[in-house]
Amino acid sequence: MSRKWGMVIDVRKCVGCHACSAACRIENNVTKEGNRSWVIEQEVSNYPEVHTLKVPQLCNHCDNTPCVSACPVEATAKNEQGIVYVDREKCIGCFACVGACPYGARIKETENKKVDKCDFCAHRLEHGLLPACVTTCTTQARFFGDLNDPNSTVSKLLKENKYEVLLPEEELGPNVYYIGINEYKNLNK
Amino acid sequence: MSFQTLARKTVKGVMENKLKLAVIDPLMQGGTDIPGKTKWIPIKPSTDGALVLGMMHWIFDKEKFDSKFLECPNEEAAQSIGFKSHTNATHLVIVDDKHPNNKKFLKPEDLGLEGDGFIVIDKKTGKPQLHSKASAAHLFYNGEVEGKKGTIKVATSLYLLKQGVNRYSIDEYAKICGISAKQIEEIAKEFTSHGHKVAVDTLGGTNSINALPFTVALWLLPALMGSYNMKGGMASNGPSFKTFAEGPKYDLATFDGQVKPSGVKISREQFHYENTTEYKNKVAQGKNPYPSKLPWHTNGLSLDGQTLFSAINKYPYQCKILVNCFANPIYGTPSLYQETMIEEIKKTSNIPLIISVDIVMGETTSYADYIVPDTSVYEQWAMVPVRANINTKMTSVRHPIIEPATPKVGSSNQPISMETFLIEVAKKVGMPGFGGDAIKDANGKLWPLNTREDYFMKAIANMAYDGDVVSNIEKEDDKITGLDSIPKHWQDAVKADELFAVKNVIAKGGRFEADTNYYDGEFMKYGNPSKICFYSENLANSKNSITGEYNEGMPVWMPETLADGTLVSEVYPSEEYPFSICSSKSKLRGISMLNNCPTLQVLSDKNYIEINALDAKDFGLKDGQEVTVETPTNKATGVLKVKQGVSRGTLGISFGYGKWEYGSKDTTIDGKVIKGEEIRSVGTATNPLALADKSVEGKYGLSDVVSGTHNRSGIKAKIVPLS
Ligand code: SF4
Ligand code: SF4
Ligand code: SF4
Repeated sequence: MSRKWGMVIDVRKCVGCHACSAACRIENNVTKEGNRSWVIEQEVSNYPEVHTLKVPQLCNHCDNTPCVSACPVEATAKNEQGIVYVDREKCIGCFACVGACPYGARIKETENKKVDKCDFCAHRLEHGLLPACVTTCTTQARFFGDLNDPNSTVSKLLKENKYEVLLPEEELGPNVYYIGINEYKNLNK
Repeated sequence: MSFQTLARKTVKGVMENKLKLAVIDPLMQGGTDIPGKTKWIPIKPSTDGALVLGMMHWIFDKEKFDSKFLECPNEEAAQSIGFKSHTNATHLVIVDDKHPNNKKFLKPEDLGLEGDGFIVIDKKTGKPQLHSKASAAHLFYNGEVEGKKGTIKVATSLYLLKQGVNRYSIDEYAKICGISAKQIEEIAKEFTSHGHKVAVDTLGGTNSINALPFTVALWLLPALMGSYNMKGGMASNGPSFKTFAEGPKYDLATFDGQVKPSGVKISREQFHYENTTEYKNKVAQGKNPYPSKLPWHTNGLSLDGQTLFSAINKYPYQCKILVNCFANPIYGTPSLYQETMIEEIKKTSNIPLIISVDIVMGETTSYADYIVPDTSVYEQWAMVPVRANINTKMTSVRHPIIEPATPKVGSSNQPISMETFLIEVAKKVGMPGFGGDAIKDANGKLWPLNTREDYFMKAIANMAYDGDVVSNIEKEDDKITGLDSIPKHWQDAVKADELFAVKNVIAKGGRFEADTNYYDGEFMKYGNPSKICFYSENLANSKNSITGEYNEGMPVWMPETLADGTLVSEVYPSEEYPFSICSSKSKLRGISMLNNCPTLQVLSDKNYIEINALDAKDFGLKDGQEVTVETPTNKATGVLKVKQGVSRGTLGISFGYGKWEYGSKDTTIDGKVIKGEEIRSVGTATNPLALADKSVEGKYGLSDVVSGTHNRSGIKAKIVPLS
């Protein structure tokens, strides 16, 4: 079986430092028009029992890809390792894919007329390196690996922990998994 | 670098259930924050002292301190029962108005005893004894001892601390800080449930005008448990490698013709008003010497902000030349960027010449007569010692990775920078220690100081040869770091046989002991046995230069007051100013020089005025609303953020935003316009909002008289909606 890259993020360990977002911007020369990696901070429960849930986000490299289907020129696709990428040569800047992604994972580069998005740092993976956001993470809250390999860290984490995905109702089969979100969300009940 | 390590270790400890964490902060900043495992305790700004003293109250009431440890009157006694620190808990203080040494420690000569040191009441005999001769002594003795000339009233340090703590009840402390008495007791109970394996840390609470007793009391909490230098307790930073002082290879600290700095610092710090000519003259003229024109900060240290208040008041003396480098006091000092103060800064009669060494047109630099371009972090040298939670030996090294973009100047044709400026000026005016024959090596040979590399390369050589000698750089490292092609004058700055070890230190970013061995049995590996003082004779015998009253020798709750002792809450009542500003350090703009960083501009372009949701409701304020924050001395606009994680009555405003220079405006240099970037000025700055103190004669920003700490947090304010 071929590789299927995926990420697991333990939100309990995330301190919301945004080092991942900063590292990603620098690694991938992301323009000022958006972020490939970003962190949402949200208060849960009420004063004074409040906690802050931090959810680092990026492209989910979904199994079902409305973004890919939306592209009129086949400039974006999912490769055999599960990475959803943009071929910037082919991209005509129509931004159809941007609207099709419910996660807001695609960046409109209005000036360049191109789309940018997370590619799991494919250029690093080629050299056996982890994605920039993963190696940078201050608290080791982010894990990356092969979901098809039962012995990978990510597979083991998913076996041993309860996890969630974002927007499950969209049924896109996202490959970024979260541990711990419910521990915060349950406080609101 | 080390705050990231701290975050990682904290998260790890909490996740593994090894660490219990309570964050006491007016603002819930939500770092390590895990439901069921961590707790936020909202405290009112500038009341941290009340919480700590409340905890101490409970600890004294329930006798939860480590009495065996505290009873040790000296180092040997404490070491013999397994500790690596001792205290002056049992040392007797004279509390006798009639005694000439009132408020001082009782000395052997006061009792007609031989020997040196302090006196304790020996537990074995119940009699006064030299502190070095007893193995255990009474903790709370308060009574009389037989002196040379009659009886003397005395009390132990710990007794005096307890007496100070008991001036208020736990309920009163609870009311002051907004944390319930039950919660204060719970924290105190938790704190005293782990023996000496407890620690405290702080930052924000130390930035108020009543922060001194808080800071002292906080460091005394673990001393009550014997935590200092113990595994699991309080640790000092790891040591540094030898650099600038006399090292194994070069002596960079001393030189022929050296003159020791002396005199009174213009910042009015570390000096008693009673020793000034002003005081003596007033007394000679039969006048009341108090108040002084501006406060004297007897226990202040490195008060760069106070320097400017001194300069604009020409007090204690006229400033002639102000050289500013690596600093931005006009942005960074509370109460300074206000019309009345700035007018005075501009007057050449106050400050005839301002020279600023800077990499941008900073807020302070914009008032300079001469601007000397400096080098940026990528173009300069620096040696950074250990900070925060690293307990092993290390010194990091920053070296220029690009050729400085500044113009080349001077006798050695070097890029202009702070160092080049100092070297060239020193050579021109003929100061010793610069130019030829300036630096002595270990064999007594003299070396020149003409370039910054002449200095820094030698400091790195000292590091490389401190203890075990660092190995030479590998060929591959030399190549990939570009150190194989360093300029000739870098190479010539050290001996040829030292160069390759020096390069290895540079290539590794410094010298670092392995981050594995923190401990020596039950002790921290580093940290000399320390003596912790519950009572400070120095403090108790110094006076407030405005009121003429003696300071307290132990931490005692102090509400916020003007320098003359008037309560801030009386002058600016909460009916008019219902809020206190808490100035915080945001994670994406922690220091004043990050607003030109493109990455951070995108990730967080502005700050907000954060307010508790219940307060917002009471005042009819909405999230996202534009408002003016008005304080008794200034005002600023900003955008409201309504949150749950803000304590009641608090406005949270983070530092680093709302700049007005720093490349945010167009600047014309030699007729050429350098375009400004507006995004650098977005947001609200709190320092200009801080109060001026009208109770002193001079133009002065409200500060603590004893320590010189500014009104950075706890600024009284109200909110006026703009829309
Ligand atoms: S997150 Fe958005 S862009 Fe990424 S694969 Fe899924 S739908 Fe496409
Ligand atoms: S995997 Fe790479 S591109 Fe994707 S978010 Fe992380 S750092 Fe950015
Ligand atoms: S670097 Fe790690 S801890 Fe920091 S925000 Fe990103 S995921 Fe969270």
